[in-house]
Amino acid sequence: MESGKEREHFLALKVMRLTKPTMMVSHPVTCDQRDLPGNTLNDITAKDLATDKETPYFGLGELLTLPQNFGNIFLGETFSSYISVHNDSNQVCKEILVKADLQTSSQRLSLSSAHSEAVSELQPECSIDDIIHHEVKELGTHILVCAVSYTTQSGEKLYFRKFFKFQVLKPLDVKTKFYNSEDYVSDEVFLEAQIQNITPGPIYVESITLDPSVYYTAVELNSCGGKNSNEPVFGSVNYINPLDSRQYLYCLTPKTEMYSENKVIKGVTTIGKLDIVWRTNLGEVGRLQTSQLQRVAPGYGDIRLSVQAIPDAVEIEKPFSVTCRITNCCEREMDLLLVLQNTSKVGLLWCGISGKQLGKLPPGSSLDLPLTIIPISPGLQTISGVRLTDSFLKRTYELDEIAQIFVYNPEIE
Amino acid sequence: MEEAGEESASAAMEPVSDNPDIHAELPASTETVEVNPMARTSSTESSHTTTGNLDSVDLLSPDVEEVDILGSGVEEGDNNSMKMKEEMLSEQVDQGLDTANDGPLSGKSALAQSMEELSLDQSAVEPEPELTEDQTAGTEISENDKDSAPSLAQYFAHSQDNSGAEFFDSLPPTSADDSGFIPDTSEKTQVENGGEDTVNTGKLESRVGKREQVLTEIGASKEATHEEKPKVDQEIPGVPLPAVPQSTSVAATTATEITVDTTTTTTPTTTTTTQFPLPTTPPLPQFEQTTPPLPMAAPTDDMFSVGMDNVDRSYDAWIPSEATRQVLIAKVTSAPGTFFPSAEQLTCPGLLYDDLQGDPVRDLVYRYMGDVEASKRQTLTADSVPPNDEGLRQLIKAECHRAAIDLTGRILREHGQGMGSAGQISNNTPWSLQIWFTRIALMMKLKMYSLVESELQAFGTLDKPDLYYNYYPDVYKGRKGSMVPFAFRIIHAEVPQFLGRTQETLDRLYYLHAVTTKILSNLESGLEEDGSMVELTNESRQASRELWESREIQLLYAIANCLLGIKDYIAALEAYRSLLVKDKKNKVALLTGLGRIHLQMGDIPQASAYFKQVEDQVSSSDPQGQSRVLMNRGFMALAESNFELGQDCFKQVSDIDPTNALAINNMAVCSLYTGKLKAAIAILENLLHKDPSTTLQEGVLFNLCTLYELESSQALQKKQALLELVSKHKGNGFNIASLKM
Repeated sequence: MESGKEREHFLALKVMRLTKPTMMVSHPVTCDQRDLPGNTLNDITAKDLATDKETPYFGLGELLTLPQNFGNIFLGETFSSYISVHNDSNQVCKEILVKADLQTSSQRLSLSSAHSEAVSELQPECSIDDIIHHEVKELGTHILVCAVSYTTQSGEKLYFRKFFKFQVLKPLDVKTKFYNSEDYVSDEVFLEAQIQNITPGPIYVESITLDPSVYYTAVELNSCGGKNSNEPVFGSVNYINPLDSRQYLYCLTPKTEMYSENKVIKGVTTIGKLDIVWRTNLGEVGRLQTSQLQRVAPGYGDIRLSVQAIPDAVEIEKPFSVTCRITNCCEREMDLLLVLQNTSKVGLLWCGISGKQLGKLPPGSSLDLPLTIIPISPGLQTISGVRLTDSFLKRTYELDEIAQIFVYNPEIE
Repeated sequence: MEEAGEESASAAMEPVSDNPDIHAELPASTETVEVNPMARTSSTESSHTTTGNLDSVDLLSPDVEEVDILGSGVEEGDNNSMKMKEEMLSEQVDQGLDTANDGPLSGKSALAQSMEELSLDQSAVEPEPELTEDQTAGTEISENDKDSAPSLAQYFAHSQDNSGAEFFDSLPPTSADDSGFIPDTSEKTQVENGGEDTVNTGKLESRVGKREQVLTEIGASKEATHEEKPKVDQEIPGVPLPAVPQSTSVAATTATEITVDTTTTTTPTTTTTTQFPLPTTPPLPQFEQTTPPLPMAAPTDDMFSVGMDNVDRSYDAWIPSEATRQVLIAKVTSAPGTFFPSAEQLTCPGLLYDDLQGDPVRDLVYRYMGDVEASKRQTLTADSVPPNDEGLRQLIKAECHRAAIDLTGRILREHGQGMGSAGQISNNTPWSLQIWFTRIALMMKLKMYSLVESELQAFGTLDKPDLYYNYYPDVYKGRKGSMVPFAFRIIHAEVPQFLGRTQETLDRLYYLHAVTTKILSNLESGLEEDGSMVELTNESRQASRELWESREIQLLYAIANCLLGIKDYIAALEAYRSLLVKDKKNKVALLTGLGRIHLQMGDIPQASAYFKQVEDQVSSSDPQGQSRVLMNRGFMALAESNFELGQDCFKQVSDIDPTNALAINNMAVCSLYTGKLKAAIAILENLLHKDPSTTLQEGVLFNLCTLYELESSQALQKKQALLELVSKHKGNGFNIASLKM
């Protein structure tokens, strides 16, 4: 296994990262035929392979060039590399084994695929070629370790290795915000995801989808013209410039089976994951998934009042009804008394009996309460003034600003 | 692949095993409103983005101990690696990085760079001694210039054209004032006292904004000219009077002009006594007399002919800025020999670099293969061709761009615009401007951008009055328009983007575009190009419209390319799409190009849509069209990482047309991505040796050299073989950076 320090190896190992090739840019210099250079400059431009024959002024040619340097590599991209072991000597080498491992800060992965078996012999001027791929899943320092062992003609066993270090950087910054629905009927949650491009170049966003957890169904709200249209709100040219951000919006609705059980979504729930696929130069692809997004459901205390049915708008001085659902969110039974308070400042007045006994309500169960209101002032009015008293604990729950309703006068056009 | 080690990134992470196709996880903030802590670390990480190069840690001949250390040190691999000797990934990466700023393909040769530095130094230093010389000369002459004046006129007594003599006869009286060396105090008192003058001073005090008006005033009142003009110079030192186009691009362009003018304002007009600032035909240098002054013009198209040729008219047409227009009107309406613009209103170019350009290919051959090989190299030099236009064309044709630049330098020196002439009044003719254009265009080709910019400074915005034929009513009788070739204007506009000032390039290009559009609308409304009320024949109008439409198209391409260069895809795509309408005959090529841009962005669906349009427009019997379709399929396959399919598509193109070097090169590139290095090399070598004169292109050479470096340790020898090929087939304009030696 040992080789002298001064000794030259028979085999040479070369490694090159294979990012996608680039199309050559051309800066044509041309002139009128009657100018001094005549056709000479134009002929040279026309002959240049990097310029298009028909549109010589077009700046992006069809000539592919190989990657010029290592470039940057980002989390979620695929690291591809060409590994070539070439026999530089004039003698045949035997039992060649090429191994490529990737050392990250936490683990060591074996990347060699095709040539995990030893190659029995390698003639002079011949090479063993392999391309390795690895989808980068960790940030920070990575070291590609390439090891070559072989036997010379004289039976000597030789071994050497090379190390290639590179840094994996973060491509995107993802921030999320949750908005609880102000719609009193459902438990909808809106998720705003802010995606910032922190790479030095523009990226094309292929897809950003929300993969919801078992509790929710998700609807994307990122296209113009309604939910079924696929025309994105970001315009026709779909890319994010360096350091630019984009907001994506999703609507999450709790699944119906959770409704039917009248269960309350309490505490921390998982919402789902964002799955992001982007592309850069010539379709170089990257893919990331966020960790499970968690949401703490708003706390409802002991009692939750939700509005089950309410009209959008009502005529002034015509009574309307509202159905409220009262849910016992605590662990004990309640015995409730309903009081409806009218305040003079508000443009709505309660109708019906105040001080009514609602009876016993076991934990987790709910009851629907039809209530009647007379609107007395036009405009947007807020429903407030429900007081529930638990006679077991002698505790009163004040439920205000339950919903809003628009009151109008039909006689005024 | 297994998932592990994610705990360092985020504790809230779920095992991803249920989703085997997804590997990377990105921590995101978990709860309402607040930005997660990872977001903050990202800002520090993003600063690494430019430094994310692959460091290689290379143990050249590791002995057992080292191997053991590394083997056991795996858990702390990072630390160990820091101790290790760090090298680059491999030579090809190393060399790639050397030139990473411009990329090896666009990289200037070291020679060109050093030259540019030199030239800058000179431009910085040169004016100083000139100034002092001029000052002494100026004051001396100004005392007895009335005596020296007649003798000047005698110089031109032999000329049939009397105007030259007249010009000089009348010039000296003004020269003392023009020189601006009358002490400030005396000038000011004069201004305060003078009754008629105070009106003008009022205008002068409003300075920049009104200077066109001042100019008009000067031009209109002939008697006042001599007294007023020096005041303009004195009152607004460094503020250029002439030739500021009234457009949005003014801000950028005036800035450069001011720097020019600070050197020119102090150049006294008295230098005329020694400099022969003839706006007339100069005594031609010897070699010029052997050939017609403008051999590039058609034989019938004599530039000194009195009549206005139709072709000339449409080619030369240009709309001057308002300030320049006023000067031109003044010049034409004033009696011969009575109107004199100041030095900074004139174009005073001069060489800023005059050393021989050499031959980088020969230098490289000499360095690697020695004297004998180097002496075998046969290329044209400035000495091996006749020193005239034809010689220039020969050099360019042979791709000896450097020698051609040398020759332009020599010709311009003979013409009185050599080293040190910048800022001094000299003679501009259509022919001298063509020489300048050729010189600048070749420098652009060789990517000597800063030198181009500094030599262009003397030309301002290519709008000074003396660049118009109208300025010389006696010489080019009745001829109108600008002597500046249109392509010269485009180069002038394009230069700043290569020096990092894209906005300036866009401003200049849009100004050119505005003038071009105006010319087209003039033609449309039955006027002449410059808006004058002249009846044109239908054929003449049609020909002119075609010419200017093609120029507009060229400008739109330049604008789009500039935008593409800064990756402003939205604007670039919009500009290219506007060409789908304007440049209809190239629609298929344009659609293909639009598709390619989308591929470069990574937008595969859009690219595919454009390529589909191409397929719909191409008939199946047209082999060229089919080649295009197949090329596009190849690119598409590449974007989808299907390199076998890509290679197959490019192969089919080369089957249709075996001389299609593009397809063959692209085929070789695909070969590498499928793990066939040797095959890729064989394809490219075969391509190069079959037809070296056309396929020795920098991109192809760059690819082959990259492959050589990956192949074995003997890359240098193989590159030398390529160098030999280059030396045999290419001129001294070849970009040796692509050889990566």
